Amino acid sequence: MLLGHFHPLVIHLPIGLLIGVAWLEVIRPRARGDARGAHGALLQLAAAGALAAVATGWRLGLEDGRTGDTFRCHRALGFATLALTVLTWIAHKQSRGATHAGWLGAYRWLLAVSLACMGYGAHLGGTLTHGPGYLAEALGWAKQSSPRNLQAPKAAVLPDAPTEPSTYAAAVAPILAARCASCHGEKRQKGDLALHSMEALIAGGESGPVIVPSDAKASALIGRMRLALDDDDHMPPKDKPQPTEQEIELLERWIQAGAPFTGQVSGIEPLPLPKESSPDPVGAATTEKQGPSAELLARLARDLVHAQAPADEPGAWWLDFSAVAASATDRELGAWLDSMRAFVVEVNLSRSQAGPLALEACRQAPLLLRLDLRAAPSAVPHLALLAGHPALEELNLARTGAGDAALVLLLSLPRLERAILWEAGLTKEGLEQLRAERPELTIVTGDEAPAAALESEGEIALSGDAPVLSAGAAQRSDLSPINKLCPVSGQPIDARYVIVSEGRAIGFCCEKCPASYWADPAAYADKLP
Amino acid sequence: MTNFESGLECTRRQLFASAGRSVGATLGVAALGPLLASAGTPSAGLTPFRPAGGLHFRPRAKRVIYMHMEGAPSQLDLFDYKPGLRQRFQQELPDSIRQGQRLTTMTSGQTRFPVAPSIFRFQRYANMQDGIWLSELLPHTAALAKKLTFVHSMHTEAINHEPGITFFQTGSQQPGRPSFGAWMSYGLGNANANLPAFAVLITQGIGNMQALSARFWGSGFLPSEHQGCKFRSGADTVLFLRDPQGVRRQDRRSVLDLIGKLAGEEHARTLDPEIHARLAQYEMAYRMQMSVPELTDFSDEDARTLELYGPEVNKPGSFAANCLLARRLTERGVRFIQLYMRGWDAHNNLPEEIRAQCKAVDQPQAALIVDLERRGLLDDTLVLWGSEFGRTVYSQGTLTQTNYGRDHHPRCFTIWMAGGGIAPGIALGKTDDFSYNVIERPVDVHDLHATLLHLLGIDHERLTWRHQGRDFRLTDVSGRVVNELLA
Repeated sequence: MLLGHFHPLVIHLPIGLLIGVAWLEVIRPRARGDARGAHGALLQLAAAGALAAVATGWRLGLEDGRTGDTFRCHRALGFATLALTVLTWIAHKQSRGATHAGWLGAYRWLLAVSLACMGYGAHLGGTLTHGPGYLAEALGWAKQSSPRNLQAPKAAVLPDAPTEPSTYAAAVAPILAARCASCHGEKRQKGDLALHSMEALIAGGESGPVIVPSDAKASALIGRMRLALDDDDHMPPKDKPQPTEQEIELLERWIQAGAPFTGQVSGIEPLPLPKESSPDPVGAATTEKQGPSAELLARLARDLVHAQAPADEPGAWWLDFSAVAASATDRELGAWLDSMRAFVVEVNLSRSQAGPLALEACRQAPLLLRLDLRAAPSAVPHLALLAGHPALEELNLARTGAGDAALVLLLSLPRLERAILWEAGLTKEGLEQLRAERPELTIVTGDEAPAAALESEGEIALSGDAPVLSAGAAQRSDLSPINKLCPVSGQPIDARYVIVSEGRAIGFCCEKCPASYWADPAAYADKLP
Repeated sequence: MTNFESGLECTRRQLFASAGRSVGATLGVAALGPLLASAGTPSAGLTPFRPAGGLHFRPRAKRVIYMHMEGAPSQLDLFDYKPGLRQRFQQELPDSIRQGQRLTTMTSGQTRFPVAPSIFRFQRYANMQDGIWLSELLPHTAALAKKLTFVHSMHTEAINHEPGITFFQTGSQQPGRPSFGAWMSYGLGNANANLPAFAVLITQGIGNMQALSARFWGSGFLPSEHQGCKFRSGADTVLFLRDPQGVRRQDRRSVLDLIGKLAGEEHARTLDPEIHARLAQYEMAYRMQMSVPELTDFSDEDARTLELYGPEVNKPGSFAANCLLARRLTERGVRFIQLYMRGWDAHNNLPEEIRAQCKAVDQPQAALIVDLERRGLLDDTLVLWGSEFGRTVYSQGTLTQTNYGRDHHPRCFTIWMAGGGIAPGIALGKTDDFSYNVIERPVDVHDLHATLLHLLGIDHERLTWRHQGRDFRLTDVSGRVVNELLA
């Protein structure tokens, strides 16, 4: 893989050498004999360099999945340059040994062709790297433009000057930029497809247009996203961040509306998107459906942050910062929380230095039900950030000394069920107000008085006065069965097969019947006394 | 939740065993091993600690504080109120009650089994049912009756301390299985990587004491990083944690890095899973050098809290100090905190011994509940108070109006629980008039284990470890969740 990345470096070797040899020819055209010896050595090296450049270029092309006219042309010219350089070198060798002046002419002619071939090939390489028209536009040569641009219909390219951003610009382009452009964009056009601009979108790719206006189903753009994740043709590839369902639906609606590049499409609102549009190097970007990625969890484990979720509820994560509470800064806490904010239902920030960033991340956690800020007074000045949190059910402010200022927060939480307010500094009046306004709220204040006994035995007198129990008056043992007939078979029970279910001993006729009973005890309820 | 991944590693013994069966398979494993090891191993040769795979469902509790009263307190004198016995003083225990069941060798030679009623006064406290009668010996605890859940119908199979405690701790009377705390550490992982997931605190008793083996908190066949860590009273809370004089912290770090590298190479060669366990413990000890002194320093506790735990709180190793330490461990996310109170084995002289024992535990254990609750921790901390069995209604040795002894009694005894998903303020199960047999809702040790694991978010049938050719569970082949106990 690494080899391909040396292409941009290696490519300069033959370029420099060929130009060097040509320069020698220009400044000393009449040199003969040993004075020309260096030319051969330089050409030899140029040929070797060209070979290396072609080899590395071949790798890079495969790796990037390059296709398209520009690339094919660049590749062909690369091979041609290699061949021409070798021929030039041979001709030069011959010209030294032979008396025939024709070899010298052939050598010079070949050198010129090599230079021309290499020059245009290098320009196309630049086009691949820096985008079409990188040179022409800089020079102001309007007619020099890439074949891609020529294909775009002019009518669609000329938008009105909109006063507010079009639906395309505001809602559609950001999705394509975030989810597609790293492979189909300005810099790379896998499958000869780019999706970063209006022109490119219209042009489509190798296999034709990707958008059929007003027909989302027929549009390859949607079709490929809708394929199963495991399908080889699914886009984006399954190891890349995937668009959410809402994002795909938005694209569908836009295409259905005729895929307009100008103006507004009613009913399409921009969606919030991940901040980075480039692929996350550690794969931390994940979607709500999938839960956090293994890499993200490994990173948390490495940082000694405890994260856990039940197997049947992969979106219900508990984050515990106990191990790092004493040392972690608000910034670190905030960053950890931020990476998990879509998945956390419970966060333990007790005894930590949680501040504005940690609380801001909590505010942005839509599923957060329980937040423990016990003994974290640094969070107090920023509690207002949590105001109105739509999901929060339990808030622990014990030992924060938050004072009555916390009332505003507590009263603003619509789903709050339980507040732990021991040593939270609330005044008696404050607590009364809270109880009055939120009577359903469970409030733990820790000032409960110990309960007294309801009644007490009198003096204890021990005697043997009670009538002695005879053997016949035995109390029934816990393990004597309550039934005479097996509830499963109806046969008389055998004392060896007795089980205890719901506090009752039940007898069976054989060792097999209890299993049937356990499979569905309720079914046998009416067969038992 | 199984040990599939560790299954790819093998010990020397496993390697030889499999070589006997199939050379090809062994070579396959041997060739695959280094690849697997190198794939997940960072450069230092350390694999980060990884729990078995998490929870089966949403947990009601995250931690357990298990107060084990070693030696077995008398349920008759504390929880199981039998006023009718007061008129049966010195009467013979009816055969219809005993039904010829086996007795320990301590009393099987007795010619009579005279009924010894409790001489302690009981008081009724309000709970979520129609109140509960509790002994005057535990006034602080009884005052919390609304939060406590009593199970009067516990029973066990063992009649002696060692197998009894082993059964409660590991689900088997025979030694060698992992203890509850080790299963929890394996199943749930560690919420605070700076402290062991399983901590053991021991208080010496006042009454008759029995041996307390370190294997009660062993990890059995689970990797040894899951074993309990014993916290001692005194200067060295955890043994061998302090660096020798002159060794700086960065020296220790570089030593550990080098050992980790060498051990990583050794692991790639031998695939011995114990190498990872040992490295995990080295790293844990390194972090504990920082976290333990802070943990055991009570100077940041305010006077009112210290007062709550009673006068003995400043005496290291006392039950009061250990209860406070348990709360501090809870706050720091430790999963399983095992408190042992020794000295309940009152074969003789029971009234005097139980008075002293109760005085030592009553206020601290009540304070622990109160302290957890006001910090919002009782909600997800499961507190369990119990013993390996109960004590007999008949007296061992001399019986007088003021003195008696009681022998071991596995057929019924009382435990109580609080917090973490337990229905508060109820009493479950009943015993007969002699507190000899269970007559309603028997709960055995496996049922208790299944219930505790359920509250912790684990299906007891799915927390397994493959060993000696089969999948082992804490509850072995038994155990049913006691639904009546769930909130």
